Amino acid sequence: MSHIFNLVTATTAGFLARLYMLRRDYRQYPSYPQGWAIHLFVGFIGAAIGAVIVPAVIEKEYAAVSFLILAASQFREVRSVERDTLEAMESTELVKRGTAYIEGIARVFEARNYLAIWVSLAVAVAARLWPGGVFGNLAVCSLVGLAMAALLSRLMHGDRVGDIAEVELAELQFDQALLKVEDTVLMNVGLETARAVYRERGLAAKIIPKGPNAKATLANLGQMQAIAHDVSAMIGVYMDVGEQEFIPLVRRNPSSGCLYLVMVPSEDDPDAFLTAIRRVPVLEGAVRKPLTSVAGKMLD
Amino acid sequence: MAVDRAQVGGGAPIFYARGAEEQYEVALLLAKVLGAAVHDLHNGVLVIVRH
Repeated sequence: MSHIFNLVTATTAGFLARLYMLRRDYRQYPSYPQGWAIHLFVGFIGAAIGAVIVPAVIEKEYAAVSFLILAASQFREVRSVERDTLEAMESTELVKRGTAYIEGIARVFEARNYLAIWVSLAVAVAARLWPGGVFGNLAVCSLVGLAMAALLSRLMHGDRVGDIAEVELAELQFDQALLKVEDTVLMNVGLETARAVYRERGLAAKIIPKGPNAKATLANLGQMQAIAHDVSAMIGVYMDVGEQEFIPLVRRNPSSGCLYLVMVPSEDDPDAFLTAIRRVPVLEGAVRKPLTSVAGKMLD
Repeated sequence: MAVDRAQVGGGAPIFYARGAEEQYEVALLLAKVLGAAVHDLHNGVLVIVRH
């Protein structure tokens, strides 16, 4: 009976932790109820695995523990399922996410199941160790679960572009057909009608990295595409299918390492534009830290 | 898209226009049909590229 109490509290804690983490990333999956059902169920399985480990060890069922650990390896599938889904949807995006962003999202979804396992394991251990009554036990379990979920999601929280770079508005200008921002050529816009749209509604931003590490991170092509995609997703883009002139572009100034983003947003609001850029996540796969190397330090 | 026949040649389909106005108009139509972007080479020639 005592095992049942432990199992239920720990599984619930892990499941709630997964639910909490799911709530935070709705931006990556807007209006996706089926996805929620899938991830909550997989998170529930993870939570159950974490919860069962403690009673299995107490009962000296080491074979069961081995099987549970084996079951945990199934969560690798989550990553490939996410990747496949996002890659299949990529052709329906006006502005592509890019493979690096897809990989980052898939990795996060896999990792969150492991976090659910950690939370339920911690709660199961706490429920077992606490000697008091049922209500005291529940209170301790809630505290441990909350603390674990808060700690883990804090540790897993990555930087945003605003943390590693200054973002400011820049002026876009045309040199005949060449669309430029501060002498960096972004693209060649051949039609006068398209140039007029840029002059009238276009916005440009300069993203200035805050140091060599940020500079190397922002130089990643996947990160550049992620900025274009996320800003378009957040503030909307003024384009239709096949209008390649208006696809948001991120280009890099090789001498300064600054990025320039040019786009035609659906609403002309520079503050929202800059805020959207600052809130783009820094992709885990794009992070580079040249300053931790000897050669990198010599250059700084 | 070109006006001057002497300026262009090669394997890609070439469209000739009678003047700059027609050149830009046809370029726009072609770009819409092909889902492509028009680029200006600054020498009277427009290239239509699908990226």
